[in-house]
Amino acid sequence: MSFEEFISMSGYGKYVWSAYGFTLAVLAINLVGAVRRLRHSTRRIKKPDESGE
Amino acid sequence: MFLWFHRLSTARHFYKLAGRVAPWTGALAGLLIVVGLYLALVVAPPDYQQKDAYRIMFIHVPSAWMSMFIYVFMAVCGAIGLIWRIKLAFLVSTSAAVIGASFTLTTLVTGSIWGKPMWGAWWAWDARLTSELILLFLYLGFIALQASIPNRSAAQKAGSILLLCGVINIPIIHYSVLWWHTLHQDPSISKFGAPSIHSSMLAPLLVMAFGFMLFFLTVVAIRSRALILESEKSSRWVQEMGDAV
Repeated sequence: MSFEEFISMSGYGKYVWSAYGFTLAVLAINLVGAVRRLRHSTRRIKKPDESGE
Repeated sequence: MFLWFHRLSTARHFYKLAGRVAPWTGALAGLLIVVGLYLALVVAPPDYQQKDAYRIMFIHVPSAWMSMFIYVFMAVCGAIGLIWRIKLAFLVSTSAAVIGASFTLTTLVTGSIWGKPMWGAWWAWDARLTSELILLFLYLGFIALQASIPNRSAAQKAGSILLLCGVINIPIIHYSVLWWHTLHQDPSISKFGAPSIHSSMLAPLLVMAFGFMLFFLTVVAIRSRALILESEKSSRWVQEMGDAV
């Protein structure tokens, strides 16, 4: 199987790759969002004075 | 054993345990998803009818399983919170909402992208598609309800009741393809007896499903930790932890 054949996915390339791309992007956003939320809350307990409360 | 459960149900121990578990489940999830992608896109042979378009199944079906599993998981946590008045159960339930809605969205979007070349339409008001769309609205309703009630305890109770009412939709999604023969195909895996799918196509599906499951557990562990810190920020152990750093 050549690289071009792999990319073209027997002509369904744009469907296959957009489905995989969308799913992996959504998963990545979930992971990054969760990690950022945890960092944010950890920072707030360390410096409660700077959180504006 | 009882003591272990009791300790697990306290926020402080859950926070520590989740922190220890998350890197391992995360690493394993990453590994399984990479292996799953390789098996799904390279190793598995093309389908004799759908050629390579059927490869969308390897993310569509595990996403759909997760969208239903996470909903039931949240509803069970909500029920535990309501019955035994365990705050932590509510918190875990809330921490799963966004990833649950995400898997529902990817199920609908990948299904739509798959439907266009195979059925000739992005969308149809088929029973399976419609009940999955209702699932997305249940998740969004839960998230909106949590955000709109300022009193945390009231928000958690209302959210859990919404989740429990919506559980009726889960068997409807599952049996929709058998009850109404509209457009979506019948199940291939959960039939009694041997699944009607070849092992070269079953393997990537299962690897991807386990990868998604571990990914879900990782995200819930991280989100629960953040929510625990936010809800327990006035308790002594959190303040001591803040001072120590």
